Amino acid sequence: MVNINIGNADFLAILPMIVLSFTGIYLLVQGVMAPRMKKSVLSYLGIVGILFSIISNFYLLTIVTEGGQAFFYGMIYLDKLTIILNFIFLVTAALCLLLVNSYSTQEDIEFIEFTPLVIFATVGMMLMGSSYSLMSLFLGLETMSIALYALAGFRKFNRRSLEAALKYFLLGAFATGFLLYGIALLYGAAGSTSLEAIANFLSQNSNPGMMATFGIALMIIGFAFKVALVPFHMWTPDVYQGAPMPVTAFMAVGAKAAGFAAILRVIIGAAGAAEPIWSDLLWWLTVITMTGGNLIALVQSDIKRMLAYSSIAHAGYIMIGIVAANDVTVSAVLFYLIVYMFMNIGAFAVAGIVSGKNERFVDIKHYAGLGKAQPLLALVMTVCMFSLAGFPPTGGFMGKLYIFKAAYQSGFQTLVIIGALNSLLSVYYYIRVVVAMYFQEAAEEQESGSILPEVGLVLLIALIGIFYMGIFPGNTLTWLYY
Amino acid sequence: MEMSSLLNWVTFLPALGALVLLAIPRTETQLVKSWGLLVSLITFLASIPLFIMFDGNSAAMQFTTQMDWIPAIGASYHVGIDGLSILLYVLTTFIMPLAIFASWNSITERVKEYMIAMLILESAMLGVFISLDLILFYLFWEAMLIPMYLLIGVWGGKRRIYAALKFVVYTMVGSVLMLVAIVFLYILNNTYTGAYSFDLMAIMNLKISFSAQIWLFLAFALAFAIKVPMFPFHTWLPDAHVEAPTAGSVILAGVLLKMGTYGLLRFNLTLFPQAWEYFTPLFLWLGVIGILYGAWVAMVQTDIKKLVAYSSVSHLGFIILGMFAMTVTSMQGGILQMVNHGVSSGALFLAVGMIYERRHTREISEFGGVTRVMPVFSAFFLIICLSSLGLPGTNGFVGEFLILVGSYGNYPVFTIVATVGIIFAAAYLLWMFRRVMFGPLTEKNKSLTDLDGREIAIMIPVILMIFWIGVYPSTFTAKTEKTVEALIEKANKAKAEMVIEGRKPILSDFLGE
Repeated sequence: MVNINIGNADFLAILPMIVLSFTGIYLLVQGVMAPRMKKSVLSYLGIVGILFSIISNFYLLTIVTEGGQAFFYGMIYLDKLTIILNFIFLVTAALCLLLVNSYSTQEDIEFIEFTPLVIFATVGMMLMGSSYSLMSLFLGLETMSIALYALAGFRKFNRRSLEAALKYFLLGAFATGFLLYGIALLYGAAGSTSLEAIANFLSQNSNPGMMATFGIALMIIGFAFKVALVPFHMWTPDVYQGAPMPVTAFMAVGAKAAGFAAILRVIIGAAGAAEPIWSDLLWWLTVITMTGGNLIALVQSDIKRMLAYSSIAHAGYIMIGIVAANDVTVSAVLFYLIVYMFMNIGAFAVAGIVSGKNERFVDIKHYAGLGKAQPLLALVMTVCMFSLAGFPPTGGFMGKLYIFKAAYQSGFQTLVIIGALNSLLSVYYYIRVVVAMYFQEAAEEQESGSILPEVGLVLLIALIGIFYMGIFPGNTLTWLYY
Repeated sequence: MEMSSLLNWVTFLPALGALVLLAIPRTETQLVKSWGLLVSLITFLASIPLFIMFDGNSAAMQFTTQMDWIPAIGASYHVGIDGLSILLYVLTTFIMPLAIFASWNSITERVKEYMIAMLILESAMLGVFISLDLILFYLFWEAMLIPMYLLIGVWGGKRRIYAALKFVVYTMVGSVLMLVAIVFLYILNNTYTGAYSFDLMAIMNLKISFSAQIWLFLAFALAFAIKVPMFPFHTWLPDAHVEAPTAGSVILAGVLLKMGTYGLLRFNLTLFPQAWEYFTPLFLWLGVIGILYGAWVAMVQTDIKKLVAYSSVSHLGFIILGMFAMTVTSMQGGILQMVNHGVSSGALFLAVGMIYERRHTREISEFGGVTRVMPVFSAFFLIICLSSLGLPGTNGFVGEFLILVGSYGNYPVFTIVATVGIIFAAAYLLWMFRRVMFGPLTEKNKSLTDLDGREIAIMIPVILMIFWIGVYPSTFTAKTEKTVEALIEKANKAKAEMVIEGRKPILSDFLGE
């Protein structure tokens, strides 16, 4: 009989998740019990919950110990990485919730379950980021994924949206299968699901055997699905295109960051000692992801598909940092994820407003003349595009610089050169949007929705974030490096 | 005020001015324009003390500021100015008010955005010339690209989208590889010294192996050769010039092209002197080919602006020759010629802009007999043409003379061939001048009005500059001499090492010297 003894410290360590879970449950009940309530209130309440969660995350900063500490019998790990990831997920969720009301007014659908689903997905992401066992990792992954499957199909009367949900669900389930198989094999080899035990096992056996090797490879495939690495990216463009715009933003940023959180925890953290096994595999995945994503993005005319392929390419850039696998990997990846959050949310926010009812205006040619019609939107979009392309003085440039630096330090010069050439390639398709907005005249007068103040806030945050990370990256980087 | 803080203020003043512009409503176009002009004028006036106080007897960096910027990776805000940059720095502040004043009437749409782009461009250009930290340099280098892209793309001519894209893609191809090389130097510095730093002064002291120098040199040189533009990387230039608005062309010719030659001296020569020696013959060849090719292509152009654009390719060839001939005289000539070309070609574009505003065409065949209706303009235009082709008494002569005299000792054959380029320059410029200004006055040109007060005000400072440098160049060469001597000394040391190591420059068998 195992004596289960869980103390206050354990619960305090997951306080942000607890706060957020209760918020989610409360909102579900509130949504059903008070049907006549204005639906926009729900998302505001959600944001309040997220703010409380952020505050409790600050509290974690005060109790976190150097090097971290395990809780819940080695299920949960609390270190600075956990806290930083929590911030990324929470801010992403808050920004996406700010976009929802504008979108639901535009689309004329009521989003009762929307806010709770976003919140539960965020809890799942946070669980992934703080997991110290393959079990809790899997639990987090599924919590996030199931919420996202439902969110992808939220435009119930739109075929594309339903297709997106189904596709995402089927392929996601498939990926989960790979991941579970990998977990099972690794458990079989190491005799434990604890990441600590796996790390010990791998560092003690320089040749860990077929079972562990296959386990790691299958888990990589599972993660590659989640962060959309080529050739496991097939779902991304269709799902991004079909899902409602705020959900697309949430998936593109939050889910991807969660996937990288898992990679940091499992591949870099636990399987770090087994680098010879996965290094070459990831090197090739990185190269074909960057190149494939950028090449296909060149020919996209739909802004959401373009951003989808661009997000694939960016996953490739982040993978450069993972492949480097040295002491700056974590800070370089986190820095990139933060910048990536600002620039993608900014871009999707603008795309959401421009798209109009039923997302009719999603072609790049619909951006013609936006520079005149909506100077503010065009400005934010321009900054986001230049940042995505990696121009200084934006955060996108600094992010790439740190990633390249990390790879150089580990001796991956070729990878850096391929990455640099890739970002050159990407300039072409990002600049097409800028060309359309400023250099071309609008073909027809299209309805230009007004910008709600909360969307304006998102745009402002994105703008400040991009420039702050680009011009004064020092503070953030010092904070991330530990 | 401390000179070093004045340098920082002058550099960022235009950007601050652009921030203020954000607050001015876009309908107040007159106010917006006046503010832009005022800011650029103040920037120019404030930069004069820098020029006067600059000590020409020292090769050291002056007015330096060094502050932590991104301590986590060792990037610092390190700026300063030496004999290489002081002239180009002041040239930039000199040209900007002229360019802004020149666009007074021709820019009628989105005036506010135009002025913001111009002012941000100015800050970025000034930043490029004073950066002593590789990341800071790269930041300004790329930041300058975006406003220039918008200048061409928004306010340009018919094929502006194509030209703007070509401009960006060409420049990016070069600079992306430069970034890779910068990060490589950074890691190399860490391996040798254990310190993480992008500081040029620290990296300059590294002993980089010859084979690494070759690759790093190529990565940097590609970026700069495209910017110069050296033959065969010049094809973006005519398109960009023709489609850019007048002010854009003036800045492009006046300042942006100089960044290529400046970068070669500042980075390629100081960081990789051995590779510099190794590649010298190649660059001499390309320089001389550029001189002749640019001149020949200029001769057959039917569009005045395109003619001036190709003349830039030719003129920059001279500067390359002067830089790579590696004598104090030739390199001083090269640096002075950068300024001269900035003034003369800038002025040529201004003049072309003035007649374009009147006729809305730049076809040479459309003009004829303009002298009779625009006497004042033709006097200015003639002086500028003569200065561009290097008539004694004007600035062009001094620069080209120094280059040719300095180069002759080391590379007589190249020098003689280059001299032929001067003759071609006289041919295409004077032939163009004759066809446009003389001959029978055609019906369409009868109603042309002569320059107004604003246009004369733009031309006068340029003309003054042309004669000042032409008659008394030592005001300017005195500032650069010591720096150039130090550079040459460094290069000679590398040359001696090359001889000891038994390495021969590339193509050295084809030199014919």
